[in-house]
Amino acid sequence: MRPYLLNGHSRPLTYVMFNRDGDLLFTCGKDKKVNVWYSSNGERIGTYDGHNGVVWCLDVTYDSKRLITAGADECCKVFDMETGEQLAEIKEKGPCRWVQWCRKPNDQNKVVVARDRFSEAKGPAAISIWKVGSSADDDRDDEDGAGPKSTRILEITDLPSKTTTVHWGAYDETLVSSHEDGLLVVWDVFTGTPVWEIQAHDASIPSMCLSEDRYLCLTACKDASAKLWDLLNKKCVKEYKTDRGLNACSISPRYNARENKRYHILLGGGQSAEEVTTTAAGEGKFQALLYHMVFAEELGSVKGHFGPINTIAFMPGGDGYASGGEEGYVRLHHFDESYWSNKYYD
Amino acid sequence: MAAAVERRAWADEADDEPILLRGGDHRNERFESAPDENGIRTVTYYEVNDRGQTLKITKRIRSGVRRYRLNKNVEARKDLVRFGALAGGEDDSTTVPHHEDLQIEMPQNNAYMAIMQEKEGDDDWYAFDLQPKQNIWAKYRKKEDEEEKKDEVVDKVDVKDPTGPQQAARDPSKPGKYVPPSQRAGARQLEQQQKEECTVRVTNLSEDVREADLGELFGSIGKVSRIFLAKQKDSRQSKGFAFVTYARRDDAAAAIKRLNGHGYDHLILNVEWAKPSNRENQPNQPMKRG
Repeated sequence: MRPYLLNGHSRPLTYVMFNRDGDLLFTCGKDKKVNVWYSSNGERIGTYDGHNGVVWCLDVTYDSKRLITAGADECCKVFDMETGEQLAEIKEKGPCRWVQWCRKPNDQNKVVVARDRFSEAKGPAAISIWKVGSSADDDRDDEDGAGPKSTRILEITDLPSKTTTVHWGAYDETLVSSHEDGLLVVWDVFTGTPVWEIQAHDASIPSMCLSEDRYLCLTACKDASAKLWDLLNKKCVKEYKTDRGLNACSISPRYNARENKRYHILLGGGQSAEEVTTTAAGEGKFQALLYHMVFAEELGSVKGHFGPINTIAFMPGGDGYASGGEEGYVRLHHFDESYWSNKYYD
Repeated sequence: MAAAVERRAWADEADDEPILLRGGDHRNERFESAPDENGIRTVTYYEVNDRGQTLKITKRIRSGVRRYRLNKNVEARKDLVRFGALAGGEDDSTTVPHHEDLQIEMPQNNAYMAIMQEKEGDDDWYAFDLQPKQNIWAKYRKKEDEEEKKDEVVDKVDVKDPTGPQQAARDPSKPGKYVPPSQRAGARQLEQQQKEECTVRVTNLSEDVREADLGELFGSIGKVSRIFLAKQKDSRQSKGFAFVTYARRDDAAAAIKRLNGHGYDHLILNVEWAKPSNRENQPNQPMKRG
């Protein structure tokens, strides 16, 4: 396995993701940049410019046509994936921490946005659902050339603490959010009321990821553990214990594949920069950890990063992964033959 | 099937065996035979090399169709025009392959790994003594073998032995009643201890080796108390390794010394000490893989 080192960011990475077809990798970081790369060879295709602050999150539609980014400059921008041209903009009332397209194939016109509280005057932190304007709509918002107007459908301000991630639940009927105080909340999309609430962890949940069918949910916590949740029966099914604070997690798409099943999850984290002087000296534990989803045992680790892993994502075919580190590098791994032939992994 | 008997058309024949005229210019000629039963065509043509020599080149070509699926959208995105900061088309040298070949490192102390490694084929062996009825060797174990170690073992007997009241009734300290060695206090421990101390692991065995063959070979060194030959579940063929338990540790050591590297059935045997079973240390084994 010879990973590609993608050096397109000068500051820590905040989010990496592959498109549904698996040929493109999108990355964003604290250096205001958004990059797109070919996942086969790590070649950079382009950048999406326009944000004037940390880009916290991004999401691309299933058809890989439109990309949406969430910036700390209090806006979300929609870009044409192939040209990098800005199509629309959503103006929020605070720094945007998370954005995700709704999961309805062929009709992904809604996004969920999580924003932080910036000041009393601007309003509280919130989770909102926006209908993204498109040029086909009549009500164009041309006053500042920002593109078609988007409308807010729902706003949830009654939040327990800062939101770290919000995912669309099964059939886009719920929202699943993770919070800085370790709470996991499932919201009703139509009423904006909590359906299920649980103290999932005792510390912040920096990362959460859902399976393809959105019934399984993996949360990674700063308290060095990760948990797998069954969102249908609303219970915790597995707990994964590690020796480091976790920032990132990903479920292998092959966990329910017909052939070459791999019950694997990836976890990433490590000693964060501000802890270096307060914790015992030693290695930073910046490896990506491969865990068995069912037995909850470590299967292996991949070294390479020299800062904590902030974000990690399996390729849609489960044949590799990308990880973004605090040091500004994205490492793009394609598993070699031994991953598929080694019986410890199946 | 008249057509098959019929002579083939003259043109085909000419293609099959090109009749070449000596001299003359064949440079633009190209002969191609019809595909034979394997679908191989023979192509003959001529070329002039840079020294002015004419070369006859014969190629045997098999053509076939290999189908694989491509994603239409991915294909359409193969050659995207660079945009954003890369719009100038300048060489973007932000990506470098890693300088070394990385492996997924396996953890050192891991229950799952340990089980998987153990399961590599030894599972039958460890399951063997879980079913005491099948342990036919225990029946034939000689009394004197037990006697040798009895004294030291009796000290180690756990008072809360699972065999409980029955055990008490047969306590060897109460004289007058004969107790078979296998039921005496400490027999289990002794068995276990003996098994671990006096067992050698034999690998690189051929497939058609039988227990009797091993008994013959290893029995020539000392008294063998048990032979376990790992077999395939379905075919009952040997998996290529076996465990041989001697009555005495000295014999086991001698077997390693004598038979390690010994040629047997066109293969060279590898004889070493068996690793102790750690089943006792892991009372709650995770379930088997599905």
